[in-house]
Amino acid sequence: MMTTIRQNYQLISAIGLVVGVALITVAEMPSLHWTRVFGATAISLGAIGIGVYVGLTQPGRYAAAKARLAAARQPLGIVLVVLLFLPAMAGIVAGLIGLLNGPDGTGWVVALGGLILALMLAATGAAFAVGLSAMAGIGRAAREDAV
Amino acid sequence: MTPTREILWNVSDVSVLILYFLMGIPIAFLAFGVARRVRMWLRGEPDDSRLADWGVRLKDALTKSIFHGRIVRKNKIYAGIMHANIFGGFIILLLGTIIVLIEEDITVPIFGWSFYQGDFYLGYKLVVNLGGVMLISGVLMAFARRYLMRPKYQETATDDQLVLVFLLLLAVQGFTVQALRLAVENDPWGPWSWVSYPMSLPLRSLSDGTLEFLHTTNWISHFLTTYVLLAYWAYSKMIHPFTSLANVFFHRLNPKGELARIPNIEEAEVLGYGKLEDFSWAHLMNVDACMHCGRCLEYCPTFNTGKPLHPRDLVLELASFQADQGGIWSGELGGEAKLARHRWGEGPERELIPGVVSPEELWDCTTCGACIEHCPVYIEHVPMIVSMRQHLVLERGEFPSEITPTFNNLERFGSPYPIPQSQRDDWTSVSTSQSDTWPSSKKRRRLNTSFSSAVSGRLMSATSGRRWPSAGFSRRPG
Repeated sequence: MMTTIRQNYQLISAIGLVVGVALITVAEMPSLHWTRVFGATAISLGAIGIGVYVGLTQPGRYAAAKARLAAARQPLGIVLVVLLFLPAMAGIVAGLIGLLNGPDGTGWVVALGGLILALMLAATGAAFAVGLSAMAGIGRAAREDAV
Repeated sequence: MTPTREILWNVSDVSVLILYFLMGIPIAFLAFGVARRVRMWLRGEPDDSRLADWGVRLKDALTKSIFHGRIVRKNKIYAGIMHANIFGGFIILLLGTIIVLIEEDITVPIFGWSFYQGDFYLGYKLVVNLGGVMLISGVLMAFARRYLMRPKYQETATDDQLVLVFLLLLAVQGFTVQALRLAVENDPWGPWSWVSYPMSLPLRSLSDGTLEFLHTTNWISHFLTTYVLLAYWAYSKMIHPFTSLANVFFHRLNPKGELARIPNIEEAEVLGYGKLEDFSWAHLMNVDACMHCGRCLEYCPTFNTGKPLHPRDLVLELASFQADQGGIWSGELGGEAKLARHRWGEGPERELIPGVVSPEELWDCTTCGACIEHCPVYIEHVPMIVSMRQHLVLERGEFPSEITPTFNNLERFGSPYPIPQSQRDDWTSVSTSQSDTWPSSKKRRRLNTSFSSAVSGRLMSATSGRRWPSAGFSRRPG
C-alpha cells in the first residue's frame, strides 16, 4: 500500500488538486457550501505534495523555468510592487479627498481619521519607494552578474 | 441588532473562486523551498546529542524564541520591541484570519453555529486592530533603524527591504479594506474597529459605487499580497520564524566553550569540516537560521578591530553556498553584494575553503564565543569555525606559522607550553605568593573559560620567569 502511494505520489497530489478545485466549485451552491473547506484542504495538500516531491527528489527539475523567472525578476517585481500598492494608496488618497468634502462624524474623530490616513499614506509611500529601490537593487545585481 | 459583519461582503463569487483556485501555486512554491532546505540539512552528519532533553528544548523554544527571551534584552530594548511588535502583530492578524476562515468555512456551513458575533466580535475587532498597529509600528521602527539610526553592523539587502515592505503593505491593506466597508455599511459598532473607524469617516463623503470599487480592488490586492509573500517565504529571510525556532529547539546544551571531540579520531575518515557534507545537520540548519541582525558583529572582538572575519558574513557565505548547492533560489533575487563580501549564486562547484570561506577568516577567530552568547537564535559560529580549522590542520596541514611552536610543544610535551611532563606541577608554587588573586574552587568552577586563561598565564610565568597576565580572575566572565 505504502509503496503504491510512494510510486504514485505525484499522481495522488495532482488528483488532490483536481478534487479540491471541484469541491470549491460546487461549494458555490448554498446547500453544498460545507465542501469549500475540504476543497481548500485538498488543494493545499495537493500543492504541498507536489512541492515537497519535486523539492526532495528532483533537484535539477525546472532549471530552465527557474532561469527564466530569475531573468525576469526585475520587471516582474516592479509590476507586482505597483499593482499591489496602487489600490491601497488609492483608498487612502480617496479618504484624504473625502476629508476635503465635509465628512460625517464628530470633529475630533474625523481629525483623527485624517491624521491616521495621512500617516498611512506617508508609511505606504515610504514602503512603495523602498520596494522600488529594492527592485532597482535587483537590477544592479543582475547587471553585475552579467559582467 | 447583534454586532457582526458579513464575511466576503462586496466580493463576487468569481473572485472568491479564482483566489481559492490560485492558492495552490504559492503553497507549492513554499513546500518546494522548505523541502529543498530540509534536503540540504539531511546531507549533514548525524548529531544525536540534539535529540535528547526534549523538555529543556521545548522550554527554551517557548521562552527564548516565541516569547522573545533572547530577542528582547536589556541593552537591546529598541530592536527587541521592534521585533516583538512585528512578530506579535503578524501572529494576531494570522489568528484573526484563521478565526474568520473557521466561521465562514467550518462552523457555519458544517455545524450551523456562528460565533463571530456579539461580544466576541467586538473583542475580536479591538484585538485585530491592535495587531495591525503593532505590525505597522514594528515595520516603521525597522525602517527607522535601517535608514535613520544605521548601526554600523546593520546592512540592508534587497531581501530585508522586501520583507518589511510586504508586511507593512498587508497591514495597510487590511485597515483600508475595513475602513472602506465601514464607510458603506455604517455599522453602529464601527468604533470598536478603533483604527479603521476614524479612517472610514472621511471616506463616507464619497459615493457608494466608488467605495465598493475601491473595496473590491483592495480586497483582491490584499489576497494577492498574501500569495506573493507566501510564495516568497521559503526563499527569503521570512523563513526564519521556522528555522530560528528549529535552531533554538535543537541548540547545543553543552557549555558554550566546550569543543566537540572528533569521535574515534584514529580511524575517522573525515577530520573537521572540509565540505558541506561534513557539517552536522544541525550546523547546516544553523546557517539557514541567520536573519542578518548583526548582533554577533556588535560583540565580536575580531570585527571590532577591523580584521577580515565577520561572523555574520561567514554564516551567510555558508548559507549562500548551501543554497547554491541545493538549487534553492534563496538570495538570487540579488542586491546582496552590499551585505557581505560574497555574491549569492557564485556557483555550487566552489571548494569550501578557500572558495567560500577564507583561511584568514577562520584563523582570525579568538574563539571567545561572544557571537554565540549574543546570537538570538543560538547560531554556533565557533564550533563551525573550529571544525573548519581542524580540517585545515589535520587533513591539509595548513595553518599559520605562528602556531608551529604550539604544535611542536604539543608533540614534544603533550601541552601547548614548553614544559616537560616532570615539571608540570611546578607552576602551583608560584601561585602561593599571589594567593590574594587565587579564587576558591567554587568560584573557579563558575569562572570556567577564564580559569584556563589564568592558568595559562601562571604557567607561562612559571616557565618563562616573567609575569604573564592572568586574565579573568578579578572579573566575572561576560
